[in-house]
Amino acid sequence: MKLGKEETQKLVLGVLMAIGVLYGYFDQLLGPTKRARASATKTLEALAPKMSEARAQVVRVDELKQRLPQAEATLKQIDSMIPEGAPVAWFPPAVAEYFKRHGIEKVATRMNSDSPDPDAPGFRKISWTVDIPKAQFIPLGQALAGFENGEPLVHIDSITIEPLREEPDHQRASLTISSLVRK
Amino acid sequence: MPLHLNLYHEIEQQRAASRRDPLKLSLYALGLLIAGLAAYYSVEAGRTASAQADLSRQQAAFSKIEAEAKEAIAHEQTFKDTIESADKVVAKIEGRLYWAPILAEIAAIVPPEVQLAKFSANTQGFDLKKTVITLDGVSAGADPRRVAEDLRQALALLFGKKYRAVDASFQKLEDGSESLTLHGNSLATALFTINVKFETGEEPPKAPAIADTKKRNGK
Repeated sequence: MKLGKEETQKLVLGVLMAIGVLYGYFDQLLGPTKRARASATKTLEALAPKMSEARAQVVRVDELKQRLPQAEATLKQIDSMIPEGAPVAWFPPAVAEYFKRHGIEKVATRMNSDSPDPDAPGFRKISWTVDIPKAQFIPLGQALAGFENGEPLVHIDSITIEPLREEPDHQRASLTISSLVRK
Repeated sequence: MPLHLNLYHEIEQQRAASRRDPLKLSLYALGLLIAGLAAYYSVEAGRTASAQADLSRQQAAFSKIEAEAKEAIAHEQTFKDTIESADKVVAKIEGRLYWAPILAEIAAIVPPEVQLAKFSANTQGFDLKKTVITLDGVSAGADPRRVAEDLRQALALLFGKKYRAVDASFQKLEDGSESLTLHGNSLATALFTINVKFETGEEPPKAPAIADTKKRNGK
């Protein structure tokens, strides 16, 4: 079949139109669609680790939340062991009264320092010196045992015991103790 | 055979020419191509829409979980502080060193030939507690230094059974200038100072978790 001039022109026109259509299709339709999908996929991939991290964070805090009631109950219990008011107002009389009950008189307690406890957040550590001017060794030991067992928020940091020169069967003792109180 | 005249040959030629019209054929081909491309586009558009819908869902889910995570981060430190505070106070109470049993045990091993002149002790530390006990006294006997040495060894044995890193050593051991009468016998004396060191508790664990949390929170 031999094409005439007019037919050839029409064919060329058709090919040009096809090229135009294909260009428009790939550039204006398919291209943006594919780019949009690629972008969505990329964003999704970037979102996945963030999502996992956020979920892990929530799980981590949920675990903490589960432990919280027990911790709060413990702190409440500890709070209930600490009398109201300034410690310097109630602690020295309480110590004197305790040792008096064990037959040890004239026990003097004075405050050395009051500072936040670095080992127990939310608490203050108060250091005291307790002077026991005269006591026999066995009653003193028994009183100390009861004191350590009965006062869980108190720790004896140092202790010095030496016999009295004038009464060798009696000792004088000096204790440095630290007590915990809430901030 | 009858004569057959085709009076429509011109019309048929025109029809044949019209059927072979390249523009028309091109348009048909183009139409087919467009239909194929449109179908492919539909598939691609569908996949894109699906991906975008998935993205929207994930973004919505992320927004929700991110809000929860932000709220969690805001509360995390408070929760941690409360728990840490309770744990540390409990550890502090449970890790206390009780002096009354120590005094009782020392009193039990001091022999009659030894007179303690001074007992002093102090303990330091939270997780790992280091304790030093100092005993000043006078020992009496035919060999008073031996009596003091026996006491030092007894103290090392006593504390070695219960505590770690026990070290019992003489800070001072010298002959006394005075003699002492015990059970009617006059005995030579020695003045001594014994230091007993020991450790209780454990070394505090390293805390990488806090550093990780700070890094995670972008602090």
